[in-house]
Amino acid sequence: MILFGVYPNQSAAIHGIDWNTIGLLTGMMVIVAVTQRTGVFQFLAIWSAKKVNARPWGILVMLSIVTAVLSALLDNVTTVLLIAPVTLLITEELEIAPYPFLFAEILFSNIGGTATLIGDPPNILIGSQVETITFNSFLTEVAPIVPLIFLMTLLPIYVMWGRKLTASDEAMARVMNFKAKEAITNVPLLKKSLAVLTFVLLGFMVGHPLGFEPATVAMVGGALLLLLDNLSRTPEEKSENVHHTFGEVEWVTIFFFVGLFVIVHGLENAGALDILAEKVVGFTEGAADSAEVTTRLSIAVLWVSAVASAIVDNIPFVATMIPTLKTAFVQLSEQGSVLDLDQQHAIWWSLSLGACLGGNGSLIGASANLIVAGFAERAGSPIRFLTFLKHAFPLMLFSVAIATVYIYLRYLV
Amino acid sequence: MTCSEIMTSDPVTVREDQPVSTATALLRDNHFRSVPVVNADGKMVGQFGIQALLGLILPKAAVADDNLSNLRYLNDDLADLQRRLVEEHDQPVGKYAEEVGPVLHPDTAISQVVAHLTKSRNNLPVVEEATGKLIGMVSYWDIIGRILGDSQ
Repeated sequence: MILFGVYPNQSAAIHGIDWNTIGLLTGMMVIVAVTQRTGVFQFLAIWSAKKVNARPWGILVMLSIVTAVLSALLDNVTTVLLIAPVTLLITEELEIAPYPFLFAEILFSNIGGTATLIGDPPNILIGSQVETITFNSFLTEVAPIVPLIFLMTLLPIYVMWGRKLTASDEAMARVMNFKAKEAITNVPLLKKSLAVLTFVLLGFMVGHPLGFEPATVAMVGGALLLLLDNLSRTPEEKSENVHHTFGEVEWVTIFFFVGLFVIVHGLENAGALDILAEKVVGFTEGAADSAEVTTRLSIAVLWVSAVASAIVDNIPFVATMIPTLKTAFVQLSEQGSVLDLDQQHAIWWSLSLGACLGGNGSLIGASANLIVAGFAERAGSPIRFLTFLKHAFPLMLFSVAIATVYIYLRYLV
Repeated sequence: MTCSEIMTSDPVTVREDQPVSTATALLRDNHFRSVPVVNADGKMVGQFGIQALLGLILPKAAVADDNLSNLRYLNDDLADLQRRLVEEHDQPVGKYAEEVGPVLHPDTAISQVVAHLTKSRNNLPVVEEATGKLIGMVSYWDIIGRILGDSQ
């Protein structure tokens, strides 16, 4: 891009990188890398399976709840990476097909991730790049609809598979024979991890008014946990342990974001996003007032994001939409349609809900989907693209319809 | 010297459509680390070894994922391991044939064979380049035996 004159020099290209997103992702990945070594995620999965006496439908519901909650608190890719293997282990012991379970986990990882700023990459991008949106904004504005979407998605899953899920008494006894506590491999580290995770979540909630951005909180949390994990180790062990932890960080994802920011900022510099923004503004032509502009844009952004996110990766889509919408807001105000903060937020929430829920539309819609599919393939239970599409796309549309009603009733009337 | 001069011709093989139990018996009875798996035409399709066999007595998810290295919570006893293996007994062994590492050809130079063997825990297959047919196997004992024999 420098060679083609999009950027005058390297500094200008680097200036486009959103370090808040990069720091937040890296910090959380370090925390998860240490925490996962404690076995707590396996513990949660096995504990929840035993809580329902290893009845298949009960397990599906419990694992869906665990997946959704963990996806909201961590990122959804990590969540499925840790829950899907245990799920396959459990379904194998139950001698039942894993597909409904994995299907539910894919859907609920994306639905759960929608609830918080840190739950899904599109939200991380929105939270990092829209100055007026905070961690708490997501909790008060987006999270409230998530439980309803969860329940309304669970219902069709029950109709399709849940009522037919059965396992023999012998198979259920095998799962009941699991010793959940044995999944915990390091109790002291677990205590440290949970303490740091709590500190980080609280930091996200109270940090913004104090001037601490999410990246600062996540990086401090990551550094603190690394410190606590290495306190009593020898220098050699410390070095090895820190290398091991950094080896667990998904650097490919981090560099993907770095590259993405450079490209999107380049498009912005080249004026390509102005053209896109003009199209967005053109869509509001003839609107009577800013309220109508907001209504049109919110609904359009919600549905376009949802369908687009089912077809292409939602991360580059949202990374492009954020500067596009910002430019569109400026263009609209120049034309006399000034959108106030609440109206702008309604559109950002539409983008968040559309992109996160839209990721459920197909197997390539979100990174978490591909992670589960890849693992299922390796374990001999492949998830077919078209089969998933057939089941997931209608459910995605259903969830977006619920989100539309929510956005409309809460922000547009 | 080339591979064809040191290889063991007509090696013991298992056909891909034969059951796992047959391959297991071959490994156990001959104390092989692995056995080549071939198709009806004698073309090499992979190998079935001790690691693959041990993998069959664990849940598939445990073998497919590194995150499940701790399996204490399974609370398994010998009967559980036995049950998993028995469930796979009648499956065609081709389903579990693993990729072979380096493949040798009759004209592969002996130094090259030794170089491959230093990095391999199994015997190496020798296949005809044009047809892919398995025509022999080379073990480290084939090489060592010849070297010691020649020097004595």
